[in-house]
Amino acid sequence: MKKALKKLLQQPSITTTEDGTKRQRESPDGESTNQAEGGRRDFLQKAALGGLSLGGFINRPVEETLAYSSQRVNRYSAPTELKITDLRIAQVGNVPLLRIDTNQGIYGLGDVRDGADKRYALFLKSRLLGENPCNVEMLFKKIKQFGHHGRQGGGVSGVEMALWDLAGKAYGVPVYQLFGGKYRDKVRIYVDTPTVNDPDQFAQRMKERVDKGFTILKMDVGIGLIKDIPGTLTNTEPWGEMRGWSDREVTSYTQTMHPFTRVQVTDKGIELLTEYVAKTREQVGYEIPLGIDHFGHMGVNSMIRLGEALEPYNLCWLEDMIPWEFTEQWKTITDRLDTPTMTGEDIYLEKNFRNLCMNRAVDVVHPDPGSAGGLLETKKVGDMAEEYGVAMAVHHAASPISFLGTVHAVAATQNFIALEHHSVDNEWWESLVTGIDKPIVQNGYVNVPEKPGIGIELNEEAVKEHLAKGEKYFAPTEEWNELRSWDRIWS
Amino acid sequence: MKNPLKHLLKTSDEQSSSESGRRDFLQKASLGGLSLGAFMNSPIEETLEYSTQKVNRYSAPTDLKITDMRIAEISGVVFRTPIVRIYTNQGIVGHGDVRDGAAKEYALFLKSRLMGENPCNVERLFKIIKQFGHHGRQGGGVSGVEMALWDLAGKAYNVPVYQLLGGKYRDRVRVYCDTTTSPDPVEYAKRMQGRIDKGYTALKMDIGINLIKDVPGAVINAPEGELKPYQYEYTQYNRTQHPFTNVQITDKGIEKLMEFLDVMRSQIGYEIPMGTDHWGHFGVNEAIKIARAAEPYNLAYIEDIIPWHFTDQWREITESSTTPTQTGEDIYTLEGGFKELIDRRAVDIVHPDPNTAGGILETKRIGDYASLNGIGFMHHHAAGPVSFLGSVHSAAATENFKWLEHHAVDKPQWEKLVTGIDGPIVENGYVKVPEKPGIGVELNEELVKEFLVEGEELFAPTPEWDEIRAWDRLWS
Repeated sequence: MKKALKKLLQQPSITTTEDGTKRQRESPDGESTNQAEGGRRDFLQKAALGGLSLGGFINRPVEETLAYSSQRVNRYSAPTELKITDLRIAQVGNVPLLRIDTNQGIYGLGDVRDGADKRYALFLKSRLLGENPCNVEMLFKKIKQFGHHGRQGGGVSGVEMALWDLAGKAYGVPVYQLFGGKYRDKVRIYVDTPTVNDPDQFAQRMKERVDKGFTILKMDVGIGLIKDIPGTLTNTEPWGEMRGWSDREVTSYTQTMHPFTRVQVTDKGIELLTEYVAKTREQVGYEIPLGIDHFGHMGVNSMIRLGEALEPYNLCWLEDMIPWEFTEQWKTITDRLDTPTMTGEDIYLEKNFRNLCMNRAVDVVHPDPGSAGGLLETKKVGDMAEEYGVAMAVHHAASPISFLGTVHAVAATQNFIALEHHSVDNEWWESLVTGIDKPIVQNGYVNVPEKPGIGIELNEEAVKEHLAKGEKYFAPTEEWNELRSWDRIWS
Repeated sequence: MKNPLKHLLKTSDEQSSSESGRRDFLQKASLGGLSLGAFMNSPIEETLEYSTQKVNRYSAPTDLKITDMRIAEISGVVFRTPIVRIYTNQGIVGHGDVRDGAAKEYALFLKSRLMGENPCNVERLFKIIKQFGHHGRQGGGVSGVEMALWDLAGKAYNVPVYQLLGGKYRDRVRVYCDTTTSPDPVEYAKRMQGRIDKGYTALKMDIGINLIKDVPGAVINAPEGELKPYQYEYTQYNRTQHPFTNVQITDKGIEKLMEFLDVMRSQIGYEIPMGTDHWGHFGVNEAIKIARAAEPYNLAYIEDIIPWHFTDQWREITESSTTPTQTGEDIYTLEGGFKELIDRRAVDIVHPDPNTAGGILETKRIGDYASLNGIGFMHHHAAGPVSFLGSVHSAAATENFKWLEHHAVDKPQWEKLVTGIDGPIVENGYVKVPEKPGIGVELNEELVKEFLVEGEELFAPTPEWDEIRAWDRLWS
């Protein structure tokens, strides 16, 4: 018997309800405490029934059959009877952390992608209450229709991660094992670095990343760097500051798709942009893979000209040069350049990556598990891409929960290249979770966790300290317990 | 020049009446001396405003801003339907329905994206919110809002919605209706005749395997219990897509089903177009058997005989028989599924529900695309009279339109939920296209109150939806 299990079995404070299920303890302020003891006794009682024959389960739900046939397997919970009882949020910065509670005291963690609204997950609560979280695929099918490309994918994806965390905890296995086992014990990381206008300084910063041990780099070399230099760009006047992210107005530069800005880069502009890359290569050498992102909003033709100028620097990928959905235009770029192309961080579901891969419109796909549909869906993207000879890097910019969840998914996927780490310069980011050796990211790699589920717990204190303004620590969400809607999308 | 203009354009937060807005506009129009050149670099609304300043209208469209969105959710007189109302700074409001069976939250989710926007920019707003709709009931939020925006744009410019869609092909829109099912073919035919006696000229009936499930030897592998098409459990028959039930129909079963069609046609004749719906959940081969067996009865269509997204399987059914095929009530937007069905001629007729498809203009787009490709077009509808009449505008403005579904024939109070139309809305199987501004109706609030869902209020405030924390761009 596992040590942890023994220890927990000695804990006396389980409340039993009339129907025999265990209820998690609530602290006076309504926040549930971290425990996993409830229900374990239930399971043991059930296992002790012993005399059950397999035949007796022929017509039973699949969970019962499974529970019976694996009753001698160590686990932390009684999976057959596990039920979802709650879904709550604690928003840290622009990332809503998500917790799914059960009737057996174990809980699952996920996050709703960076820049997503917590309601994308809360919307799903009414569809999950009372369900067994171990039936991940069935629940995923049930809620799949409520995700979409971009941040809307964050609700379904965050819930999916929390379900895997729960299933892993219930059966006492790490998530990667539920995905068919792993290809690697540690996962390679790639990092971005903040942009500076001076090329020498920029190159220096890139070098500092290498000194920190990172083995794959990415830099943002975009027209924002040269927009104030006369003679570098054409048709910038209608677009004002040309901000890449902050504007919400649909007719702003931020929101105008690349083919529609009609901004073009000149030879002079190309020369200046190339200088950033040349200087970085001088600093970091040619062994280390170096990718580029955030070129700015220009059409296919300007991107090809810029891409051609960058060929001598052996870049590992050119990312998001144009919006992902213009498959044909991506193919034109990819066909014209010898430098690999990459996109995908906004795409929801594996099926929507298929066009890019089938047509070899890009060389590398780049799902974000927080948008793509979660951990298994990300593995599916990789597996599908592999069939077409397309590699997979993974975008990430949320909390360490989904970061480590992703580590499980990519450990179990063969064509994986590297996972993005977006919080290298954030000192408190790693402190949000416990139960794992720190630093989580070491010498450019993350060790694949071996504990059940994703393999981490929340550091309540740190989460509370960094809650977004006006947000509470897993406050009740009863208003989402019911939603009146007919969910079938066919007749 | 622009300063005095701005002064006059000062927006008011009053919502009491449309008077204030009207006065504002009149003052503005009286400025007179404005030249077109001065507007060269102004927003399109200002240019429009200038160039149409002599046109009568109810509001000052340039300054119109969305100030609120609220819901009144009703049932009993219609399938449960949340009615959405969009408020403006000029006292005029727009109405739409969030589709029958949809959650009001599907519309409320959009509120933060609409506040402060000019509702007349319907296409722009549609693009902003489009990503929050989906097939089925989720499409109801975007679609209901879209209708309310057209209602507002029409009211602001004092024109009926159909005119904003390019004018109309017809002055009245033909309606089709369903009737209650009976397991006795003769009784069922009587009920159908009752519809004809009421003046309806196009009919639909539900002939499905649930009618023959108790006949020994008619159905193979039917799950025990009721073959209920609408329940909530995920893995039950009703949630299992047709190809996966492995239910089969025997020759005897087919014969029994055809008996219904035979009795029906012999009772009511062949002039009336008659479609069938709700056959049950079985695979493509059973569907083909039915379609072929039904050929002598000249059905107008067989509807939703398999789920809409299996395009190849639909094509196989359509190619295998001369009975017309039809699907679409769950599909969201032209590009979301209709396009493929039409491109491949996978069905003979498409059947969008404007409350799921994406609203009034998107439904017309679907019809127009079908028209280009020789595919028929009819509307599903099962919500309130607001979206019913919104659909009438869309249908009137689309060439290949055939019939609009009327799901509330037996609910006399349904028509009374709205005011502004003389006489019955549906008469002798047709609806007159409204000529009043916007959709052309207002709500009868007293009656709406009577049918509010338990615990719901009439257009209660919704400040919790004013803000949302999300980055909405779908690409990088």
